[in-house]
Amino acid sequence: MLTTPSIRRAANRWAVLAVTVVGGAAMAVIMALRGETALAIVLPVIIVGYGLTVTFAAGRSDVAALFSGREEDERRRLINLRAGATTANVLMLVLVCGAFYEMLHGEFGGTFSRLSALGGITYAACSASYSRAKSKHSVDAAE
Amino acid sequence: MRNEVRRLRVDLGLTQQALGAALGVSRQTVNAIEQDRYDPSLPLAIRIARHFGLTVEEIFHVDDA
Repeated sequence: MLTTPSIRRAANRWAVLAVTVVGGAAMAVIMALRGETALAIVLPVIIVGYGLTVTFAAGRSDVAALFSGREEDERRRLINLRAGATTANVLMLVLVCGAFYEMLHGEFGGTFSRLSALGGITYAACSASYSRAKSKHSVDAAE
Repeated sequence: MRNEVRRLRVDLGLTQQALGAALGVSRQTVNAIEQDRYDPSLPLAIRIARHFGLTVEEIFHVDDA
């Protein structure tokens, strides 16, 4: 039974930190080019600080682990799925409310309406696809 | 669903971290199983049973409502 991290897991562990470092550098350049010196310093500090926090707190916190992309076991995958579904439901509620707002103001077919439709079509397609797919738990502890 | 995981782990002198490493899950997952906050999947329940040399039914007890 595998007890040591695989190369893939090790890469995942540092991927979020790498992305935040690159993102922070990009923010610094963009803000510096716009002449916003304070933001060019503060924004990268915030985002790299976020990357460092979730990367090094991942061993102690499920939330930090999930933010750092470490869903190494079935329970974390389940938490990630549930959190994702709840987030999607909240966003869809906002979009549908926005679509109703557009309807009330004679703007039906606007951005909220189209995004609501996209959300509904995506959900229907995913439901159809997953209802036909095999749904098995991985038996490999390393996966 | 009640389980004997904590008792069995302590009897073997294992930490939650060590048991998690042996089973391929996180320490937090072991803790959640021991506190009845998470019911493991069938493959994980079988891995747990094999680790302790027992059957799944000897470790996990379904509460009949």
